[in-house]
Amino acid sequence: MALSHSKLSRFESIIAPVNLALIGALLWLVFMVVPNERVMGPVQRIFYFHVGSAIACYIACAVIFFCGIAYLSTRGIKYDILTQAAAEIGFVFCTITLVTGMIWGHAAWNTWFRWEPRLVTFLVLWLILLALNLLRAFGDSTRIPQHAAILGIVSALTVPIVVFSINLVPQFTQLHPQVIGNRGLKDPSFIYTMCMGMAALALLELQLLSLRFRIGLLEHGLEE
Amino acid sequence: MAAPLRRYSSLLPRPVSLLENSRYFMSATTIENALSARSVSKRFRRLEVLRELNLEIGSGELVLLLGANGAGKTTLLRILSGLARPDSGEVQKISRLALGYQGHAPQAYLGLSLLENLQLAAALLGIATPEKDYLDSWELYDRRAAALQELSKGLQSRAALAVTFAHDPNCLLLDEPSASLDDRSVISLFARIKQSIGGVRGGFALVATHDLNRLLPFADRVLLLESGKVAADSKSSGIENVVARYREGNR
Amino acid sequence: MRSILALLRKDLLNELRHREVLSLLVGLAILVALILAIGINGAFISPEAVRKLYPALIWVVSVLICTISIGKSFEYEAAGQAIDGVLLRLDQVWQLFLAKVISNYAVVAVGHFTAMLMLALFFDVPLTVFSVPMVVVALLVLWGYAALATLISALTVRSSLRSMLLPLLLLPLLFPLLFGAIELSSVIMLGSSPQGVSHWLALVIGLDLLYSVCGLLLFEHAVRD
Repeated sequence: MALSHSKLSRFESIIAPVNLALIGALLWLVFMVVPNERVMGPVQRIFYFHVGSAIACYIACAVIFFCGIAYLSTRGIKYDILTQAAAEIGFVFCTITLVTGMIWGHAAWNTWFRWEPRLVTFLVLWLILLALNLLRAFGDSTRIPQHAAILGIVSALTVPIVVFSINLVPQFTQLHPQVIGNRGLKDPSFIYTMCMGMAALALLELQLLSLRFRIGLLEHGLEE
Repeated sequence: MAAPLRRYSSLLPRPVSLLENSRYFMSATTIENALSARSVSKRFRRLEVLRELNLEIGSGELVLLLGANGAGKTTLLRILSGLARPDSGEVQKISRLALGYQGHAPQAYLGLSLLENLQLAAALLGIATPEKDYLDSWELYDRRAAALQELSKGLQSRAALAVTFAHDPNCLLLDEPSASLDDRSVISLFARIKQSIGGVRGGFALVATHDLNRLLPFADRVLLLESGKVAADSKSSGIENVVARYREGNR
Repeated sequence: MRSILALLRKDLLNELRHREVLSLLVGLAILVALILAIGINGAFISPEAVRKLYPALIWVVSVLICTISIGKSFEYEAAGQAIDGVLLRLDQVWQLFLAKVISNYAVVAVGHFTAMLMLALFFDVPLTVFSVPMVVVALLVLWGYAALATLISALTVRSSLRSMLLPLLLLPLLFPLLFGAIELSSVIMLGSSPQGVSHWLALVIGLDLLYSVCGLLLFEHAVRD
């Protein structure tokens, strides 16, 4: 992997204005363009950030998985640094997803937490990402890269299984608003705002990952 | 015939299969009797413990490895034994039947007795459990059934060494073996080491130590580890010079 | 094969000598069951409702006490760096993993069935709960649990948090297995909605395979540099 400190800082300086533009566009779309949703009113706007964060979280999980395998195969320390970055940033985005989901849920069902598939999935995901970060903080300090890679691989494999199994449980009432498909998203502006949300937050995550990766490189004395 | 060198490289990461298995799987006909390491590097975060270290040990040599605390002796021995992995460089692979490694810790189950640890070690290596004669040679026959944690530190060290030597290894990597041993035990240990590495089979012993007074008489060669490299070798500068330099550094 | 047997013998001997893991397990099973019994009975819940809770309770208790005990059992390997001794002599590291999983499986089974017994006694659940399907489901689920716990406990052995870190790492990963266990146990015990049983069974068996394969491939990286 030809990722070095200098190359990345150049990458970031290119990306940053694009990022700023996208986020600006997102904010404008969310607060200026998109009309109020019929059922829930203005609170529904949080949905756009919620979906973007969820996507960012999944991207982080994918990065953790592939970098974990890459590290164990090649023992290149840069993969470990990237795994660490993804675990931390993924955790942040997962927290955002959970909190925005709970706010939205409170507006919709008047309860902060309810046993419905998506929220429970993200709660478990949050615990898994927390575990990854805890291992880094408190694990066997001489072997953290290998251990983090192993935990990352097992966790990332578990995530889709959690999604699958939660959907099997009959008790979980299907409360999650079926946004795409039948009821919601009548106005096309909803759709492209949602896509803008996903794109902006994904790009933000990429920038944060790059930044955190560079910090990791510095910590390891690998600045070139 | 030299065994194939294991290559570690950080420049061209070579995919190692996830099923990478033991470095110890070698057939009996290729037991080595010499050691070679080239360009071995290891760092922990910003600290470079070993820096492109080169090492050649010939057959029959009993080598003392000197160095200040934290110089990297333990790390080097662990890498040579296969328990740790260097960041880059090449290390000769030593088969598990030929290797005798003893680190700081006993590497045995403290809750079990010496006999039980020997039985486990023998079963894992696929050899027969050593009998009474072997235990007598360590003067541990009477204490063979006591749990290791009940033995005194000195006896525990001896017991750990007894397990290490059980399969009659001839490639010895010992990390401060004399630390808890009395003089008599040290003499008999080194007699045993000399016997293992000498003779037709060949072999070598690399002993990391601070215990110069007792161990220097046994040494064929002395190496000084400093700044991550072999800073002095008695082969070129003579034993007294290396020892003097070590004592200099310790002041 | 001989290596695996030797390692199993070693684990058995260790346990017989120290008797820490099993006594911890049985003690915790009784204690936790007792606390739950007092708490729940104190709330004047009808016995039928309690019997409905039983499948979930048994798995929660079982997972908790077994996690604590498995962490303990790995400490035998860390003390005195005994595991290095094994790694230096062992031909193939997956043999160590398999032996450890089998040992842990035995421990976990003891814990689970003890907890089942205690909860059945305290909650006045008839002992027919030990029916063949229940036992089979338990044995299936416990294998996956043992495999995953063995792999994860290898990561936490030398941590500064020691026994606290293992539950934090292990429990989030256990959710799918736990769901499967509880659902299958509920179906067997209470006869509720049998549709979807095949899904859950497939999930549990799939997870057993997944964790076994992951463990076999990854264990070496956990215990050796």
